[in-house]
Amino acid sequence: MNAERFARLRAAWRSLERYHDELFVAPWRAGLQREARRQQDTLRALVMLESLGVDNPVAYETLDLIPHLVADLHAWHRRMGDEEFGDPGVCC
Amino acid sequence: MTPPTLRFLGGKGGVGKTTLAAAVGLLESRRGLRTLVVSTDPAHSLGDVLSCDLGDEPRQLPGGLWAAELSGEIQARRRVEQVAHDAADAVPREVMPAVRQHLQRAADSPGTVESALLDRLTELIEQVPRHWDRLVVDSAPTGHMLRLLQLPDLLRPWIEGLARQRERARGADRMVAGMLGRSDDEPDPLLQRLHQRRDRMQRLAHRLRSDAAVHLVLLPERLAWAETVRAADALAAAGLRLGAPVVNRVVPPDESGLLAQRREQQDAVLAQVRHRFAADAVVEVPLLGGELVGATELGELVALLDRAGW
Repeated sequence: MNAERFARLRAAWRSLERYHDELFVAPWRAGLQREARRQQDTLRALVMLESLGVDNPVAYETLDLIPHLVADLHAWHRRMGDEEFGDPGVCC
Repeated sequence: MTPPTLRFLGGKGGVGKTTLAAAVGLLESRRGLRTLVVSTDPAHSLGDVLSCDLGDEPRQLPGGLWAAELSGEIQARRRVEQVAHDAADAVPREVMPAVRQHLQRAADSPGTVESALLDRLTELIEQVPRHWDRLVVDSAPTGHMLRLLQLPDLLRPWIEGLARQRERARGADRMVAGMLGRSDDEPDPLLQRLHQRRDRMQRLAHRLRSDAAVHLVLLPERLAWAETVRAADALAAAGLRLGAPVVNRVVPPDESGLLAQRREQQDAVLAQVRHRFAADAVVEVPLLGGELVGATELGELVALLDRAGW
């Protein structure tokens, strides 16, 4: 009797938790992920300014970041399910 | 004051910086100091003055002096190759063509040759005092030299800004990773590289302030003097040490006719030079008959600098 009530209570708690997660946590998490991506994009843009046609005063100093940033971009579009991305010369 | 281990010779084009740099180099090397003299002017003439073929790699001349003509283009190419080579092991093969294109675009951007030249100079400066006792730099004309010497201070805030941006991105990333139960605490290669770059710039700026002296070279003419004053002010503002200035091609006092007239004009300039650089001994190099080319012909100039206490 007690065990049955306990199981019911636990199930109710779980669904409540799920509800809370979907309603509040998930959008918050998505927002944070969006923010993380935005920050990465800003860095990529700053380092690869000349690819956008803008002069970059520290282009030479940041040469060794470029392979890593392109690799990040590659990993990202693969995760998104695209085998290829952009024009040749952007990624692959 | 301890003698500077890094000497820069600066001034307008055609005032004799290269000849003086060669003479300073010869003087130091004759004292038994391991001395390297380098030219950073894209229009190199150091090889002509020392009458030998010079390239980007230092080579030793018969008298013991080492010399090189530095090239920003070669250094930029070398670095692009190095980065591409390192990347080949670190990133997926299919993105390498794109990496190469991005690298090329970055290497072609304006300012790269300048930065590359400074990078090469930094390599050499970091070899002092391990490999060299003295480094003598025959700089490009004034504006160029000023920019080269100020570059570390101009670039550092940029690199720091990028590092901060990267830290923010990493922070946001880690927060997401933490919530999803992943841990992501490996050191970040990008951040490490940015910090390495920043530290290198910082070391260079420090070395330039503590171990370098800039000797301005000028002709005793009013226009040359006006530019020298501007350069001296800019260098002092950047915290760089000004060495003894060199006034080149001074007409001797016992001349007559046209040269005597020149002498009067140059006396006015010389008075101003002595006034401005009162603390340092101004070096006056007399107008010499022949052209100074080759180590033997430079002997007279070397002796003069020696007497002036260099």
